[in-house]
Amino acid sequence: MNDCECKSGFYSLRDCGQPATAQCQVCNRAMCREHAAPQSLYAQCRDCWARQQQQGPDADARGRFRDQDYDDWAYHYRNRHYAEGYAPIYVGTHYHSYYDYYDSRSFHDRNDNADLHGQDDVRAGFGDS
Amino acid sequence: MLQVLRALQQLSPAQRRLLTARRIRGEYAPAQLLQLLQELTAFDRLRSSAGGGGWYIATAVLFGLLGLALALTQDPLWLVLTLVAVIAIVVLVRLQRRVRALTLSANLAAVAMPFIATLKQDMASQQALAVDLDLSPPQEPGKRFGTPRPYKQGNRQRTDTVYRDAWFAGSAQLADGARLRWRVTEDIIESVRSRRNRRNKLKVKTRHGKRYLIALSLSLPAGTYGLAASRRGTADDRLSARSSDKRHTIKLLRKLKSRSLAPLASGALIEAVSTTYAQAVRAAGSTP
Repeated sequence: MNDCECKSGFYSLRDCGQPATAQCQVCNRAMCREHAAPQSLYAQCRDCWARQQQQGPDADARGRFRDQDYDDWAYHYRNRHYAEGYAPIYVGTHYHSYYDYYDSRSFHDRNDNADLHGQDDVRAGFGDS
Repeated sequence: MLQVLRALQQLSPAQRRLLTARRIRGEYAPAQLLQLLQELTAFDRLRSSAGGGGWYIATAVLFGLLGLALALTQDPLWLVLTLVAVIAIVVLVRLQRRVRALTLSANLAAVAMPFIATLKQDMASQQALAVDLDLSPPQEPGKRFGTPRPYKQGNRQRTDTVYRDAWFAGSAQLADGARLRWRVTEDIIESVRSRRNRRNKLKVKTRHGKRYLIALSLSLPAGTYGLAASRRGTADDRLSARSSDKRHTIKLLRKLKSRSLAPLASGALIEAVSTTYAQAVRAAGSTP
């Protein structure tokens, strides 16, 4: 299996680089053990799990910090923070379009700058891998 | 209270030392620091939910009075019960004070831990986080700033007491080569206003106000990052950026105000770091 396709980081994103151990059932990205959500029985990546939970009926309660699961909280908060307009800079080398969903600013930037190969100075938006 | 004392005994000697000193200073791996803070906040949660042991003291007082009454009416030997009750009250009050002295600031669980949890995402596992974290509540007598002087405001007597709590500072080297330094200070203004009503009764009101100052410095490697052409921040921010051949340094001073004693919103510090990052763009020619 390939390397993990999930991205690490909060303020900026980088490649995870760990060997993948499974594939996310939602986004089909290869993921390592650390990027797999334990609550989904390691069937989903933490990003997809956080997105899914955020759309649930008690999303607010899950968005609150509970120190028992701070890694999970960070993914929840990251999901919300990006959706609210923060666009992290991607400093890795392996593009993936997954985060374009969040990052409307970079998406528009990229359209404006019209560099589909990712050689632009956009914030976070990744081209297809 | 017994539950709290039992939980206190279960903490490691190092954790007990931190809890007594209520200050964490040093370099830690983020996961290790979160683990440590998690145990301390779990203890603090238990301490605040367990109550102050007032019922035990009330029961001891009751037995003391009962012993005294029986000694006066029946047999002086009942004074032994009073003596035991007095000893129990003294021990309980001392324990109560000891437990109360372990109260931790609400800022720890509300602000510091979420912030460290996000920093952990941006740090490689072998990178260390330097922190200076004051865990004591902001309105400790030692944090009183200046001497409160009463003054007249209309028909009211007003006394303002200021508490200055520089509770969180630290620095971290991040995985993208950035260096982040931060400092959070809060000033609490406690305003006691008193006046006499028509029946000459003294009416006292206490109001609180909070001012926060978040100071951040983010140094980014020039090979990976450039500086955005325009500054992005709120109107009240003081933002500055400086560049050299090797690094760009962005500084942010953010002031926030609140009329409640509740701690900062969990995202306030995270939001401030995001604002400094928003001043950067990817450097031309950097991968990808």
